[in-house]
Amino acid sequence: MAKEIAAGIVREGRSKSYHRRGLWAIKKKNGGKFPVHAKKEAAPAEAAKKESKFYPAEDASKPLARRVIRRAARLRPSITPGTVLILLAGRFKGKRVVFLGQLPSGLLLITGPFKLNGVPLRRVNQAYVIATSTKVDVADVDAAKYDDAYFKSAEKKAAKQSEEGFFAEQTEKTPLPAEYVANQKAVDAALLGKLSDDVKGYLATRFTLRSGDRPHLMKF
Amino acid sequence: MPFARQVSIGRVALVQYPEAEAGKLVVISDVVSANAALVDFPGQTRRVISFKRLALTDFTIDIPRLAKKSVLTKAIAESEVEAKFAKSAWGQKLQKRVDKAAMSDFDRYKAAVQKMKRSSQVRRAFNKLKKSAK
Repeated sequence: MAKEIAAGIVREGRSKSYHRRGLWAIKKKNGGKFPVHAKKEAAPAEAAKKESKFYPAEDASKPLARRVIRRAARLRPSITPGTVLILLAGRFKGKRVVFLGQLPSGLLLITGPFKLNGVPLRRVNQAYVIATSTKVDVADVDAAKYDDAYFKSAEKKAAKQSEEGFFAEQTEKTPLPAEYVANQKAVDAALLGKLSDDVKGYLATRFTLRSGDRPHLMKF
Repeated sequence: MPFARQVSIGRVALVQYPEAEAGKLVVISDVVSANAALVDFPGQTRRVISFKRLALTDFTIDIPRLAKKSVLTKAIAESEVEAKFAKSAWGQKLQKRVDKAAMSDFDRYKAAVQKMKRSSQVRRAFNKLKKSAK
């Protein structure tokens, strides 16, 4: 660091600090020039867009540019593939489930298995989960197959509104695509063979607090 | 005799309070006042502690008043007080408490299943007897 002798006056001049900082070495390494980042090519689609004939009657506020990068949440060290988790919220609260892997979005990929406790392949946030010290073998499960897009339901077509349609009771349920059912069966089959009877019973039972239980002192 | 266990030099006692020290065994090395004793144990610092914070055990060891650490260590090793206390009903109760607190969720499930099985067998046997007694 060039020391400042007085305000605005540094001990070493431009030439000396050039040598001190070793910039010559960087230049030498890159053939006599400083390395530069390659410029990104501008997107050509911008000009091709047709401008609208209309303009808003009132000033429309422009959305702010967001440059935040959302990375996947860091996994708690107690959660590793095969960990038995206790779900704390939602319709499956209290269920003990098996953790299969983390998805790119940071959510946890879990399954009941469905055959034991009715929890299907599902995504959960790790904030709504207690990790237990129990682990099961998930080596046979192909968790890489599932990503966040798998869990997005297909877009529903808006049915035309008619008076009859409005009053008619909707009895027909859209059945789950066969692919989902088959996937669940495959995952269950890969898991169930490795579970002992004790663990099967454990996963099939809901977790609850009983009188006298002190959750902050309990070990899981 | 109203008191079965008396404060004496060499009396083994259990620390009840503060929380961090609770459950540790100590030996009374000297009686400081009507309310406090000087206690010592291998691996601990010799210190004054109120009788309110002590629970006396059945065990005493043979040491002189204000025994040196080396003398105390030897006397404790010879008398095997720690092993004896762990074997006693009191020691077993404390150990059970520790083991229960260390149980995992899966352990608790297995224990609950065992308990259900046991009580169902008891109930069955009891009902059988009840029927035959009529």
